[in-house]
Amino acid sequence: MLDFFSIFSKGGIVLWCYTFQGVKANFTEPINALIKTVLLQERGGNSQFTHGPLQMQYKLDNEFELVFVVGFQKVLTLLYVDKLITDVHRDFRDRYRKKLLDSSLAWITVNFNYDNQFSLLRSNAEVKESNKVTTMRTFDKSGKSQKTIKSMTIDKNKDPKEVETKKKPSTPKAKKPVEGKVDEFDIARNREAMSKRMATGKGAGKGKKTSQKKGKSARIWENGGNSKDAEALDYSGLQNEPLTNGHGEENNITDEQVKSLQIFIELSTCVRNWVNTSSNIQDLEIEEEEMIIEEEAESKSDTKKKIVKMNRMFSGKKSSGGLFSMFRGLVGSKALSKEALQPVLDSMSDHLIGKNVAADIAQKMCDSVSNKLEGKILGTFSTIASTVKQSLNESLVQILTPKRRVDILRDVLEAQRAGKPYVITFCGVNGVGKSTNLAKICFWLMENGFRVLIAACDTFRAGAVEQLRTHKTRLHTLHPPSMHGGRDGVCLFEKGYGKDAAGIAMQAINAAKEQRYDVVLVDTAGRMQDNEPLMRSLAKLITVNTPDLVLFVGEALVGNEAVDQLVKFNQALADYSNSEKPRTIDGIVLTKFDTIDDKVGAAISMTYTTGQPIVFVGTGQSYPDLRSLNAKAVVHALLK
Amino acid sequence: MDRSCCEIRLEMQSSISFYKSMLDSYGISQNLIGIIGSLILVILTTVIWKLTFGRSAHRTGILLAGLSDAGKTILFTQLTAGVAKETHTSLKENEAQYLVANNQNKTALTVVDLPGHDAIRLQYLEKYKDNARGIVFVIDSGTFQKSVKDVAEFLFHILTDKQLNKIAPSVCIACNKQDLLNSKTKTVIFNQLEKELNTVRKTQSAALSSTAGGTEDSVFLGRKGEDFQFSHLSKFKIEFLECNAKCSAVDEDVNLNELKSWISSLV
Repeated sequence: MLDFFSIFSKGGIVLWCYTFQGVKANFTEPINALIKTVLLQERGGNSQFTHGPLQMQYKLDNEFELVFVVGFQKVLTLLYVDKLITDVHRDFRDRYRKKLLDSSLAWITVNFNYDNQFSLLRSNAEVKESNKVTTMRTFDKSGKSQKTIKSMTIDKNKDPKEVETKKKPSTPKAKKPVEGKVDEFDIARNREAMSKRMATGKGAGKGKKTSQKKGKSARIWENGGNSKDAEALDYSGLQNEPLTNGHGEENNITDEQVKSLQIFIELSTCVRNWVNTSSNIQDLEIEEEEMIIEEEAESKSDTKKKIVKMNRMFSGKKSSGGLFSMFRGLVGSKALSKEALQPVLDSMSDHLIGKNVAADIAQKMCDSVSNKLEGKILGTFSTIASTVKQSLNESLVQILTPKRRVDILRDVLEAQRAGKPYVITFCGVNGVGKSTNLAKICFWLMENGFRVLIAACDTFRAGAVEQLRTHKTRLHTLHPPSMHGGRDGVCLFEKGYGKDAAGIAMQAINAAKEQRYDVVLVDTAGRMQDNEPLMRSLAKLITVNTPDLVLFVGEALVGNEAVDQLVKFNQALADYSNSEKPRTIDGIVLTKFDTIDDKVGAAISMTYTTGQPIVFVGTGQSYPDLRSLNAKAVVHALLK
Repeated sequence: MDRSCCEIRLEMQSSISFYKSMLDSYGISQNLIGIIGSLILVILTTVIWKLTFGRSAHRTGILLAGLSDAGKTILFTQLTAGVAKETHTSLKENEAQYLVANNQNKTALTVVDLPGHDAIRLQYLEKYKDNARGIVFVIDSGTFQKSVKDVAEFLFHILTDKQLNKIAPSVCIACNKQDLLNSKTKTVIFNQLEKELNTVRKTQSAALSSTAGGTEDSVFLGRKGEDFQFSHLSKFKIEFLECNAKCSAVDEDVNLNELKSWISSLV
C-alpha cells in the first residue's frame, strides 16, 4: 500500500497529491526531510530515501521542474513502485503539458484532477506485479536448453586468448547490445569460425614482427586496433558466405542477423586486440608505455564508436530528417539525454579527481548533476559542457555553504550569558595539526576578549602537554592579564600522562565553571580511525562531557583517505557512545590549506561526507593564520 | 550607360577630394572625425541604456526572502493567485507577475519567492538582488523565539550587502503566521531583532576573514559607536507589519491587506 504520492514543483508548490484512503496523514515532514537531506545536498545519485518507518522514492522532471515522490512503509517491498513512478511521470506530463508549459505559473490555480487516472495507473501496476511469474522455469524455457552441446564443450584447438576474451569483464559490456538479437547458437558458430581466422591472422602478425628492426620505434602491435586497420581486419564480408553456405538449412538468415554477426565479429576483434595489448608485459621506457596507453585508448574509442553505430542500427531508422528538425537542431531546444551528458560528466569527474576530490565523491557529484540535468531543455546558445559546468558550479557552492548557522562567537556569548563555559573538542588522526590549530583558535578567541582554558587531554604522546604549555606561555605574553581585567586570559589544565582523558576533560570543565572561563578547548590525542580502543575512549570523552562543538581536524593534503577518516570517526562516535542520540562531528577544521595550491578537493570530500561545514581553515604557521572558508573562491579554484 | 557611370564616379571623387582639402585646411584630420563620431555613439548608447534600465522605476522585483518554513511560498501563491496551496521546502525560486492597480493605470511587478534553505538562499539572493525594488523579509512569528539568531543573521546579511545598499530597495519585515496562538507581535519582534542585530554586528565584525583574501562586499550596519537601532539605517526604509497567509481556524481570514498596501506603495 502506498502511503502517499505527491507531485510538486521544484519551487515547492504541491500540484497534486494522493494519500492513503484519503487520510491526511502528515507527509509534509518526510518530504521536507527528503528535500533537505537528499536533493539539497547533492545526494541525488540514487532515487531512494529512508526516513523513519517510511521509504521514499522520487523522480525529477527537469523539463517542467517537477518532483514526483512516492512514499510507503519500509517493511513493504513494493516492486511496482519503479514502474508506477515512471508511468505517472510520463502520463502526467503528457496530460498537462500545455498547462505546465504556460509561463507565469498560471497552473497554480489549476485544480489537477488526477485521482482517477492515478488509481487506474496504480491498479495497472499492481496487477502486473501480481501476475508476474513466480513459478520455476521449465528446462525448455531456460537459456541452457537453447545452447547446443557443441557450444558448451571446450575446444582444445581454440586459441587460449580467445578464452581469455570471454573471461574478461569488459566483454559483457561490449556484447550487450548484440545479445538480444543473436541467439547463442549463432555466437557459438561465430566463435568457431573466428578462432580459425585468428589462427591464420596470428601467423601473419608474427611474420611481421620478425622483420621489425631493433631500437626504439613505434611498435606496431599485431592487429593494432587502429581505425586505419579496420578495413584490413574486416574479414566479416568474406566470412559470411561460407557460414551461410556451410549450414544449408540456415539459408533464411535475415539481413539483420547478418549485420549483427558482422558487428559481433568486428567487436570481438577489437576487444581481443585490446586484451592483447594490455596483457603484454609493459616495457620500462615511458615512451612506449605512453604509446600503449594511447593505443589502448584508441582501440577503446573504436569499440565505443562501434557500439554507438550498432545502437543506431538496432534502434531502427529513426532519422525522420526534414527541414524542421534541422532548424530545431540549430535553435537548440532539445532535451539533454543521459548519453549526451555522460562524456562531459566523465571528463568533469576526472577533472575533480585531479583536483584531489575523493574518487567516489566526484562520481556521486556527477551522478547527482546528471540527475538534475537529464531532460532539461538546453538553451539556445549554451553547449552541454557549459551547462554541466554551470550546474556543477552551483552544486559545489551549495555543498560548501553551511546548512546551518556557523557563528561560534555568538554561541560563546550565549554560553557566557548562561554562566557556563563553551566547550570545543578537537579530534582527528595523527599529525594533522590539532594542537597548532587549537592554539590559533585560542588566540582568536582571546583577541575577542574571551578567557580560554586549554585542557590537555592528550595523555598519550610524549611532549604533547609541553607543546601546549609552550603555546600557553606565548599566548600569555601576547595577552597579559591586564587585557582581561587582571585575570589570566589563558590557562592550561594538565594532569600529566597516562590518565583517562575523559576524566581530565570533566575536571577541566568544572574548573572552568568555577574560575569563570568562557571557553574550554579540549585537545585530544591523535588516533587512526581503525584503532578501536582509542576510538572508544574518544566516544566516551564526548558522551561524558557533551561538548558544545566537536571539531574534526583534517589536513587539506588528504585525498581519498578523507572520506574513510570521516566516515569511520562518525561511525565510531555513533557506535560506541551508548546513548540514544549520539553526538557526531559538528564541524571541520581544514589545516595546511596553504600547502595545496589549487588542489582544494579535500574541502569538498569532507563537507560532502559529513554534511557539516568547514568552520576554520588553517593557512600558515603563525597565530593569525586562521581563516573562514570562502565557498566561491574554493569552487573557482576547483573548476579552473 | 557605361559613360554615365564613369561620370558619376569622377564627380564623386572630385567632391571627396574637395571635402578632404577643405578639412585639411581647417586642420582636422579624418581620424579625429572618426573618434568624435564613435564618442558620440558611445554617449548616446549609455544615455539610452541609463534611461531604459538605470532608473529605479525599472526594477520590478519584489523579493520574498526569509528562513526556510517561514511561509514564503504560501505568501507567494496568495499574492499572485489568491490561493493557499500545500507547499514543501523550495528547491528553486518561484516567479510571477503581480499587478498593482493604481488609481488610473496598472503596473506590473514581479514577485520572486526565494528559497530559504541555508545552503542555497545566498545564491538565489545574489541572482535576483539587482532587480530588487522591494524586499519582503518573512518571519515565522510562531517560532521566532527559537530562530531569532538565524533570522538576525540573514537579515544582517541583507542589510549589509554592498550592492543592496547601493540600490536601496524598500524593506518590509512581514511577521507571518499571526493566526497561531503563540505568535509574537510585531513590536516584540522589532525589539528583539534590534537587540539581536546589535550582537550579530559585534560577532560578525570579529569573525575571521575568508580564504579569498579580498575585501568583503559589506558595509557597516547602523552607526559606529552606538547600539544598533533600525532608525539608524539611512539607506533602507524598514517597515514592520503583521500578516497571515494561511488560516488555522475556520472563522479566521487571511490577512494580507497591510502587505498588499505596502507593495502598492512601491509603485
